[in-house]
Amino acid sequence: MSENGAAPSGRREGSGSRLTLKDFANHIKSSWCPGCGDFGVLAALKQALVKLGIAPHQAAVISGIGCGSKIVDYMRVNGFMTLHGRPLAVATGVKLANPDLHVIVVNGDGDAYGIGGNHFLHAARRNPDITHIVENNQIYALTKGQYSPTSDRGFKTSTSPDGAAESPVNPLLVALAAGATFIARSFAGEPKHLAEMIAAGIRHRGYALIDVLQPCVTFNKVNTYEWYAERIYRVDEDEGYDPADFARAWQTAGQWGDRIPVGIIYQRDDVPPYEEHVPALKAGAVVHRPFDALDEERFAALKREFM
Amino acid sequence: MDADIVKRVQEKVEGLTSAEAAHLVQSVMQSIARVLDRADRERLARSLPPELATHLHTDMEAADPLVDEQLFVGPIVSRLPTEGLYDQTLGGLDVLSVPAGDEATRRLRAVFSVLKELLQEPEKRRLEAALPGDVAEWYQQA
Repeated sequence: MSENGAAPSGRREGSGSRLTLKDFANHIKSSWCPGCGDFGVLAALKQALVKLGIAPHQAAVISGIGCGSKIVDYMRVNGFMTLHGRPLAVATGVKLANPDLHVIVVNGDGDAYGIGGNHFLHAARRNPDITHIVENNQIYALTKGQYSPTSDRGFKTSTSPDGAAESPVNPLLVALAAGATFIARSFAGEPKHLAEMIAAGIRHRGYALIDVLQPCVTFNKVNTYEWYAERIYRVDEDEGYDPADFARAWQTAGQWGDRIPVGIIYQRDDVPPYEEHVPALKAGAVVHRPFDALDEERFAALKREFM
Repeated sequence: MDADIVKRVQEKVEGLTSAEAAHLVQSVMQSIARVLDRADRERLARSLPPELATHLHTDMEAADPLVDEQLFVGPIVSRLPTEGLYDQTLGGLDVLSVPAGDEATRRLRAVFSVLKELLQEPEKRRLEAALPGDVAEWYQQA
């Protein structure tokens, strides 16, 4: 961390060069279903942090409510499980208070694109330096099987017995339209690729969305490991693919069905992160300000101003 | 899928239809493919009947070291019944995923048992060495 309390210098990697996956392990036994795609996300997130040399105390994982949001319990790292749909708001606060932390949000498609849809839009346009991993299994699983914002039309669940009537949200297109500066997708069944995408998202200066195609083995018998494996293709296999090309990214992000793109769909590096625009942080991060400057008189003045 | 292999799996997993057995074998072979490098996949494929070997095909060059026992059995669990009746107390559906995990492991062991019958000793050992964590143990027990 910077000694002088100045805003972060844009460092993208941590100092723990000899980290291993075990540094992020804890003793909590997971309550995820056997075979759940969440295991792939957990393994990939740990691997990405190890690869970047980011030690547990240098990262904060903020989650919402849902099966995947329990991830903060299953790894040794700063963690905060927030209200349903609110992790991006809390994460923005964490980042503003301590910009040196690598702030990572992990939540499900219901939490991110449904209940937290407003925060998703505004995080994308605001561009805080937050990595947002969405475990998109196209269903509300923790509450035992209701259709979600990304469920395909016709998908049958306990709350859509005749099949979902709506068109699904395409989170990549929404993020692009809202101004997100990094948009990627990966598949929980290929955790090595997912770890690469997460690492790229953490390196990116600004809001980074990583939409993770993730099988729910219990409540989604349509979008299975097999279903995704048959459909995904990597955009970087096309040598001509340029993630900085907005029009191409728009066209690619719109693909769904027989062919589903994975990889870095869109990235631009010329937009400063939100925290660099906040005047109150010009004097340095809140976390670095000395407490002793807040004497009784100033504390009373603050109370008068805000209470 | 080779009818003999399907039949042998059916003998080991009671109540499995031939279509279910064929799909189970396919799922296991695809999971194996994810933990093997290309050269190891090709070597293993040469030791197996073509109907089995074909399921080892993938474009991946190297094994995925992050595929653990959970991701290995995931495709099998996906095919098993995991929902019960409506939960009258909490809403939603009762979850049967824990017994489904046990059943997936039992079925995986059955396929491993058939594979071990087909492979020569060196190939058996090479495969065991490539399997992640608990999966290698299940393979030994098969």
